[in-house]
Amino acid sequence: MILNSFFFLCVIPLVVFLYGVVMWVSSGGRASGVVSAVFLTVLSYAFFLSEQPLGALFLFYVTLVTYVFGRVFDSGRAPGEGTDGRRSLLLAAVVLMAVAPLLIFKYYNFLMESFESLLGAFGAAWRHERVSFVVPLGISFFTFQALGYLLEVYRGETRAERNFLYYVLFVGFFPQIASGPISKAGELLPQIKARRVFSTADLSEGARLMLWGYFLKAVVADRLASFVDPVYANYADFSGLTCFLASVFYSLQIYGDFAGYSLIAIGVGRLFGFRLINNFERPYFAHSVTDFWRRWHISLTRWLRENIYFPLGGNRRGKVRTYGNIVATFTVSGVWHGANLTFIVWGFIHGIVQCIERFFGLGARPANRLVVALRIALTFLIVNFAWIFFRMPSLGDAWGVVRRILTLAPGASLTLNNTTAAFIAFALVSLVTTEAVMEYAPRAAMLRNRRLWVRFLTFAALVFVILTMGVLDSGQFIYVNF
Amino acid sequence: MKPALRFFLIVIALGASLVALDRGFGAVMERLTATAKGGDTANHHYINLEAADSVLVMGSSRANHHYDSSILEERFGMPVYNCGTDGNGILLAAMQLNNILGRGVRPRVVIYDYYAKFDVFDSNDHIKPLARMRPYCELPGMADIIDDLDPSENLKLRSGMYRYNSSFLQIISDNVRPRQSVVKGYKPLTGEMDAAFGGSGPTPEGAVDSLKVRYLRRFIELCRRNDIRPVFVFSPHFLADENPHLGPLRREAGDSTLILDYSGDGRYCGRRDLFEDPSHLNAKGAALFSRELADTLAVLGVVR
Repeated sequence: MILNSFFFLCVIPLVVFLYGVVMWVSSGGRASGVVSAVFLTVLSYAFFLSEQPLGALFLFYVTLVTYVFGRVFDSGRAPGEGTDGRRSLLLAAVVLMAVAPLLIFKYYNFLMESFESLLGAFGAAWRHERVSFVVPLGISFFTFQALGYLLEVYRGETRAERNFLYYVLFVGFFPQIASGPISKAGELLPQIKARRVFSTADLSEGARLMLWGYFLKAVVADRLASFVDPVYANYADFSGLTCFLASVFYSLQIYGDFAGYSLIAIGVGRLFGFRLINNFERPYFAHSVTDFWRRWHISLTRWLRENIYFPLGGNRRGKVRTYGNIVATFTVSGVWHGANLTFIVWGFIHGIVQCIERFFGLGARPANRLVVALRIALTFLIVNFAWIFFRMPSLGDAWGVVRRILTLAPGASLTLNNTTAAFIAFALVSLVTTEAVMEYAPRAAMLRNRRLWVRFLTFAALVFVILTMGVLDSGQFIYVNF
Repeated sequence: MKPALRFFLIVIALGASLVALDRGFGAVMERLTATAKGGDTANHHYINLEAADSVLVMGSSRANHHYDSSILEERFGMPVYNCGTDGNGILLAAMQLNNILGRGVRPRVVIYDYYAKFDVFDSNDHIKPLARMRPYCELPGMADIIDDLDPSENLKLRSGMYRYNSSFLQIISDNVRPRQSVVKGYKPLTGEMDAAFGGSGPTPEGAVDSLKVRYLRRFIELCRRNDIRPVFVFSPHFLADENPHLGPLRREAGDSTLILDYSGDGRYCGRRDLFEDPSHLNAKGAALFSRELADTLAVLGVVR
C-alpha cells in the first residue's frame, strides 16, 4: 500500500469513519474483536489487491504455510520445551517453503549470475537469461514477520495462533505490509484479539504521527533527492566535495524517507487503535555504530538479534565467536536489503565497525559531553560512508564515489536554483532542530504541547509547509524496494 | 464538554482554518503571479497569457539556452520569443501551444528543439510540466491535458496551496527582485565547460513513451491545422557521438516536416569554449548557433 498516494489520503478518512461506525454498532458485544478483524483483514487485502493482485497470492501463501506449521510445531508442546533433530529438519524445510517466494523474486537473478561468474572463473561457459520479476510489495517484510512468528513458536516462546482470521490480519495488516515495522506476535496478536475501543486520543495521536511522517517524506527526503539523484547519477562529473555533500544528504534522505514511512504506518495503525513498534529513535544522535543500531530500523534489528544472532550463540561463546556472529548477522541484514554485493558490503562494514567498538569497549555512552559530540560526528561519518555502498548500483560505482571524496577530486558543483536551495536549507534546519529537541528536550515538542492553541497552530503550519514546500509527486518510498 | 464532541469541534475548526488559509494563499499567489517584475514567473505568465510573437522557440533547457531570441529576431525581422523550459519537453510545449492558440494567436513558425529523453523516451516525468503549469490550470483546454498526465491532478488543483507548491518563493522573489537574466525568454549561460566534465557518454536509447509520442503527434497536427510551420532541430551537443534518436520523430513528422540535425557538427563538438556542459551551449555558442540557424532557415525559405 502506497501510504503517500493521493488515493490513500482520500480513502483513509472514509475508511476510519466507516471503521468507527462499525465499532460503534458492535461496541460492547463480545464479537467486536472479530468484527474489527474481519473489517481490517478485508481492507488489508483490498488495498493489497488494488496494488498487486498477484502479490496478494504470495502474501496468502506465506501466511498459510507459517500458520499451518506454527500449529504443527506447537501441538502437544509446553512453552520452552527443547528441540530435537526431526523437528529441526522440519523447521528447515518449512523455513525454506516460507522464504521460497522471497528467494525466487529477490535473489534468483543474483544467484544465477553469481553461478555464471563462478563457472566462468573455471573456464566453463554458461549464460543465464535474466528474468524480469515484479517483486511482490513488501515481500521481505511480511515474510520476516511471519517467519519470526514461526521461529518464536518453534522455540516455544509463544503459542501458535489458533484463529486463522487473526493470524491472516497479523501478517497482512495493511499499514505495515509494504515496509514494516516488523511486529512480533506477542505485540500485535493480543491487540487484534482485544475488544476494540474507538478513541479520539488514538485518532489525534495517529494524525500527529502521520503528519510528521509526511513532513519527513515530502519536505525532507524527496527535496534532498533533488540534489542527491543528479550527483550520484553522474558522480564522475562532480567534485569530491559535491559527492561528499550528496552522501551526507543521502544519509538524511534515507532517514527522512524510511522514518517518514514508519511514522505514517504507525500513525495509520494508531487511527485504528493499534500500537506498532517505534522503528526509529533519532539514529544520527547515536554515539557509536552499536548505538546506531539501537535506534535505526529497530524492528529489523530486533528480528535479526532474536532469530540470527542469538541462535548463532550471541555473545555467550567466547570473544572470537561473538565477533563472527556480529559480522554474520549484519551481513544477513545486508543480504535482506537486496541481491547485490553493495548491500553485503554495507552490512559487512556495519558488522566490522561494531566488532571494533566492542573490542575497544566503545559501546557505552561517554560521560564527557565534548567526547559525546565528537563520537556522534564520527559515528555519522562512518554510517554515511557505508550508505554510499547502500545507494550505488555497483561496487565499482560506490568505490568511484568514495575515491572522489577521499581524493577531493576536482569537478563540477551542482547548481541549484535559489528556491530549491532555500527549500533544502529549510528541510535541513527543521529536521536537525526537531531531532535535537526530541533527543534533548522532548517536552518542548510543539505537536505535543499541553496548550491546545500551540498544537492547533503547529498542525496547521505543518499542513501548510507540506502542501507548499513538499515534493508532492507521491514518490515511492526507498524501503518499498526492499 | 464530552471529549468526543470537543475533538470533532477541534477537527472542524482546524479544517475551516486550513480551507481559509488555502483560499487566501491561492488568491495572493495568483495576484503576485500577474505582477511579477521578471524571472521565471513573468516569463511563464507572458508565454501562457500574453505571447503574440510570430516565431516561437519551444523545448527543454537546450531550447532555452541555445536560441538567442534577439539574434533570431534581428535576422527574421519579426518578433521571436523563447518558451524553452528546463527539464521539460513535448508535454509542456503542448500545454504552452494550447494556451497560445486558445487566445486566438497564430504564430508563423515554431522552432522545436528536439531532445529524445524529454520528447519521446520514457523518463518517468509526466507530471513534471505540471510544476510550471499549475497556475494556468483554469485556461481552456488545460483540464483535459492535465487529466492525461495525472487523472487525480485536477482534483488536487482545487487547493490553492497545492497550485503554488514549490513555486511560491520564486513568485515572491520575482516580485521583489528578479535574479535571472531573461531576454525574450532566452536565458544565456555564462560559464565555460569545466575540463573535468565529459565522463558521461551519449544519451542511451530509451523505451518509447506512448503518451509523449501521442502529444508529439498532436503538436505537429495542431501546428498544421493552424497554418504554423513546425521546424524540429537537434541543436549542437558537445559529444561528437551523441545520438539524436531522430527515428521516432521522423515517424511522426513525416517527410514534409523540416528536421535539422546538428549532432556531430564539427563547428561545435568538442569545443569547450562554446559549451557550459556537454548538453548546453553557453552564450557564445548560442550566438554562433542562432546566427547559423537563422541563415539556414532563411535559405530554406522558412522565414522570409
